[in-house]
Amino acid sequence: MNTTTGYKTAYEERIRTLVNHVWDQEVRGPEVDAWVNNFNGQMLDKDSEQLYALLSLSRYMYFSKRLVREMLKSLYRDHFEAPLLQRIRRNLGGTKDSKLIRRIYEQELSATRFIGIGNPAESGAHLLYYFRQVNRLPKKLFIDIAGAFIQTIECSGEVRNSKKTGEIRYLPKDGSVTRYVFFDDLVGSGNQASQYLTDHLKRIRQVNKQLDISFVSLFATTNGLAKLNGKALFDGRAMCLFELDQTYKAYDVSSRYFANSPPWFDMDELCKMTKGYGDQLQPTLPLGYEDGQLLLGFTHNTPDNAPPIFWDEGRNTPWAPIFVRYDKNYGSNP
Amino acid sequence: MIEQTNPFALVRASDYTDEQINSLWVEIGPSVINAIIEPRSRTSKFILGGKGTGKTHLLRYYSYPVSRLRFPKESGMSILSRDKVLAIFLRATGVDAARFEASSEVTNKWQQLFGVYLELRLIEGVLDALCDIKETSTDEVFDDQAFIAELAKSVVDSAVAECQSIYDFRDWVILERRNIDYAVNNAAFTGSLDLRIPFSIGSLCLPVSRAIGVWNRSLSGLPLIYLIDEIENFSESQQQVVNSLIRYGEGLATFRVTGRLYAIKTHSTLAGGEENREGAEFKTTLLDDILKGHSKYPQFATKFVVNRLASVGLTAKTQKNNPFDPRSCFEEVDSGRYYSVAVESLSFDKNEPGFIKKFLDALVENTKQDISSVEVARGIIADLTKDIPLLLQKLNLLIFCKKYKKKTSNTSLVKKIRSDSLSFIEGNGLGQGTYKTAYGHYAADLFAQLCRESNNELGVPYAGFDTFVKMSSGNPRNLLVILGKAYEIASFKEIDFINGPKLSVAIQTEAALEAARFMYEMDTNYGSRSEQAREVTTRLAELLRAARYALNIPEVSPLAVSFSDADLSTEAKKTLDSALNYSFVYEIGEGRPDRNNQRLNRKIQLNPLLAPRWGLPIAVRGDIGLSKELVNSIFDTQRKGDFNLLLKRLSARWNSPFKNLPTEDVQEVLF
Repeated sequence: MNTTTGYKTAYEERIRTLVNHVWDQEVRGPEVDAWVNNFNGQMLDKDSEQLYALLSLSRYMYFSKRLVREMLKSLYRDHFEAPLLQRIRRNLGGTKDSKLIRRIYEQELSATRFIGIGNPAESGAHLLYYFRQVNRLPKKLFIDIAGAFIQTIECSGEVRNSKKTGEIRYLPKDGSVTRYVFFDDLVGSGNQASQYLTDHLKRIRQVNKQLDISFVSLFATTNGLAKLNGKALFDGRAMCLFELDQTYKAYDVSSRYFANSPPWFDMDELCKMTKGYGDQLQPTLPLGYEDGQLLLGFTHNTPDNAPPIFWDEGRNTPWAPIFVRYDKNYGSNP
Repeated sequence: MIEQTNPFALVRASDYTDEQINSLWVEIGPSVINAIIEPRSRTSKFILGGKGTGKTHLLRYYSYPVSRLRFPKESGMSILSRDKVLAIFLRATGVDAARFEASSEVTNKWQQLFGVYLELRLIEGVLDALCDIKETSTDEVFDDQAFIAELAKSVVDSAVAECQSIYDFRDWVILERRNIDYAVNNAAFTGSLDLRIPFSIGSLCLPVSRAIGVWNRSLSGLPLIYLIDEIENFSESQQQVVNSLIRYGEGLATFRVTGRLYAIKTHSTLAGGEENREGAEFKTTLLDDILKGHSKYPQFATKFVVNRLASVGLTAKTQKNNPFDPRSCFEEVDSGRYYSVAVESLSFDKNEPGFIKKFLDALVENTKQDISSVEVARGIIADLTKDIPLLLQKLNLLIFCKKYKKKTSNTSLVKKIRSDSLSFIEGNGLGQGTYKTAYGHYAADLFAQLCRESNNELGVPYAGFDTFVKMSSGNPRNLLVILGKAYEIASFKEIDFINGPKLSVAIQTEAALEAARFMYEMDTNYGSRSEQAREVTTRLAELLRAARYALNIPEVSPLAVSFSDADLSTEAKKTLDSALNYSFVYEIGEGRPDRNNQRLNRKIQLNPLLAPRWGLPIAVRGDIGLSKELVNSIFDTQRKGDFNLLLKRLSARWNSPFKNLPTEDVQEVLF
């Protein structure tokens, strides 16, 4: 057996273990084989490419249905329920009356609305369904922006319900709601969330300065989270369960994915290969959207922040993906 | 997606139910079982074996409750008359023996208490069996009073004398056992142990044998056997208790004690008493040796695999006229016509394969004038290889290396080799003669060399059910490890090799490699001793690999080494013992005294399950004799530098057969 084969076998075994015990068998052997066979020696020699591919896959962080659901539980418990319970108790002078605390918590909860980022058909909103299920929350707590606010337009000192041009503001449809929690699965660069939310948040705040507005997500890059915590967006009230710092950039010098690599490993070669095929597949994002370089995926979707070699379905050039990405079809008006 | 339940998953026999012990039992033959258990022998036995040799399964199978399940409609008395023995099983881990160690108080006290507790646990097993016998044998007369009176002679507790039946007595035993549990558990917190001990060690579980005789006369003289499993879980002082029971038990009850190869910590008895002696108070059986040497192991393995498949519903257990044969599930390497099909797939450069260049270099390095020119050397090579299948080309070169004469011309040698090989081809590999013998010896090694030199992805193949059975060396667990991996890989790739086409050689080889890695890296982590054992095993394997892939292979199918026991340093001996205990290596035979100097010669082989890691053969044929220096450099962990140097020298010698190099590292003839 040559050394390459030894490593190859070891990576295949590791991938199999991951698939069987962590990835809930959502990927199968024939798919792995088909994906590895994409690497046909265009960038390096074929054996090296396939070895790099297997190594990359063995280091990929894939979150199966079971894991995502557990994370949704943690997100609710650690970033919503526990802090709110603490605050209530503090406001009540540190009371040990758990029934009282729970009663007030229920009141606070019913004055809360969870809003998915983006279109209801996008992953953030989609995950809210499971978020509600696993945390056993009532349906009325979930809504979208259009359902939560009435658009108003201010004309010469008057506020009128209108669609005419002028300064748009949002009025809550339900006056008893005091807290809005925006939700997404992943914040990559923070660009999409920022584009989507900046105007909305400005319009909400102009009329309702007392509202408690925050943001939670399962994953966020450090940069993306910093962007969301800017004054114009959530002003320090954006949180995530799993923060992805610079070490989660797969091909960075500080990359944790390849921190303990075998002697033959050369980051430049891996990068050359990933970028080379990435250029063919998605010329504008060869290492992922905004140079994301995230080796991260979920059962419900693969973010485009991951390099396209993992998810591209071969529209430009034939390619068998290992993780499916359900592309957003933005139509003519993205 | 195909069935996900791996029929070859590793399950410890201790986790089986009594029913599973029976349903997964495969008869290995009464003679072998008798040799192992010797149920009617009046001498106690230690049955030692590597992980997975079936120790627990064996003991539990013979225990009364499991035996009883085999004949559920029969009475207890009828089962005893069938078995001719009453066997009581106790797993050492079930005693939670560590509780009896942790104390600042005097050791003797804890040792005594442990002894009493152990006896209570054993007698509880006996009483459960007796109660069942009494309940199911309604035609028989059982004298409970006499039974209790007999025991009351040695147990000083008025409560015993008050017992009216064996049920009462069982309640008393359970109560006493619970009292000890309670006191011992509390001692961890209170720091003191206050207990009244109702009997002294050996006064309950041994005389019960006599009591059974008076309970029912027909049971008088029935052998009572205590089966204690996993003795390695007892400390040295606890093993002294067991040794004492073995010693005192003469004529009353005997023990069959199982454990890993390194399980026995002492043979001494209580209170500095005499040591039990092999052959007198006890006998020792090494299960690995029996299973390895068992001629019917392949049949056993086949039945064992069929049973496993049946247990998860993958195949009918037996189909009359057409029994399921696991061999049909595994593709094999086609060795026909000098491995021509397999060699073809290696895609060698037909003009000049790499090994020709290696041979040429070795030849022109030769100091002898008539060969040192490249032209002459090429002429010799052409004669040895032209129009000859690749594997036989290699064989011809090897024979030339072996028969080469430094001082005379080799022209006639070359001619003879060529003509022998051509006749061999002409006769389709049949016939007799030294060439055929050489082919029989070296073909597998040379094929392995070709696989390695071709740099093909697969490496040296390991395939075929029989190969895996051989690799398991009589240990069913080893077989399960390989087959489990094969099933896991196939299932992942959505291949159903049980009902569909045969499993490819490539996947089988992958499974063999993974099994080797599992055994070597994950299944044997027992601290520094196992680390050291692993280190020296790696050295041994590196030496064997250098031999197998040398131009002039020094021994056929090199998987074993031999050396003189007297040459081993204390440290080397210790590490070799560890490697043996963790089953990284096996001892072949018990060593033989050298004819000339009467020193003990030993032969050690690598566990064939590990062979794929280094592309080594799975069967032993020749053995490489090691000098004192070399054997210590392998087995003494401190001498890594020496080993590397010696290996380099040896490798140079094996690959430069035409040069004059020193020969002191290897003992050419030891046996």
